[in-house]
Amino acid sequence: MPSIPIAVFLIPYVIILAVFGLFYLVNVYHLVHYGASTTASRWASVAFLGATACILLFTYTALQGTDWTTPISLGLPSFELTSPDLLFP
Amino acid sequence: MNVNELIHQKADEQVIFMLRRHILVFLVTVVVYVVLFVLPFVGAAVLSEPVSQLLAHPTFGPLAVLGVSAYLLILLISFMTQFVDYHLDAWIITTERVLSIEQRGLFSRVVSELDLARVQDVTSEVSGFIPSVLGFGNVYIQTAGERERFVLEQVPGPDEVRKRMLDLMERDNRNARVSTPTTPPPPVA
Repeated sequence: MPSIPIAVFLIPYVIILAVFGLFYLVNVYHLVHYGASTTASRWASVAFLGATACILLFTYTALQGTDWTTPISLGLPSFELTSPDLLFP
Repeated sequence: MNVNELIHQKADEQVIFMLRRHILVFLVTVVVYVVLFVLPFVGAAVLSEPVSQLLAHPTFGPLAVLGVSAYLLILLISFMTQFVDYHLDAWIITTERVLSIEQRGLFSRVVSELDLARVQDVTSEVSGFIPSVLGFGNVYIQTAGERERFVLEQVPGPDEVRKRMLDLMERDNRNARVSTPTTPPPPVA
């Protein structure tokens, strides 16, 4: 059965991170450009930055020591029949 | 950028008030997102035994962490977008105009304005139990033209807003009459 290292799953994660970064920048641009005069928008920008840092720190801490070369097998587990009589009695 | 720059305020124009949707409207969103945010942690606390086994697994442990991390990031950016949408939707009433600034998602923004002189009718509406108790509702501004009416949605104190708008309209009309004196009709021959 073919297998891939679990490091492959980092690719979709990095894509999600990139999309997150893009949306984050657009949101901050809107807040700074159109709402910078209010205290709420300043606090919100800081709070969102803090929450992002917490999530990334949690992820980094939880993934420390991971062996990214560990293989994961593709496909469904197979059943090896010892005797075809089980299928065709 | 402050409000004055945003609306290109004229020299003799004053901002009377700036309105947003009532905070309770956004608090409902906050509660939903908080529940979704704590859901994986509550799940991990309730199912501590299988979750700790899963996290200790050399293959599925890191994948579970990546999955939860991606879920939290998507949730956070979605919440941030909701906040920006709420925070940047505003209605500004000045001594001369009504401005509606509407953020539609992340990449669309509609700013429209209406001269107070063109306003014909202002209606306030409070509908429902919670809006009645907390005092928020809609204010409809009808113009003379065919154009659809302006709606100030779910703003706090809609009756007060309507009264103050009517006062402003009256003052605006009075000023207009003073600044443009009526000329007497020509004598009939």
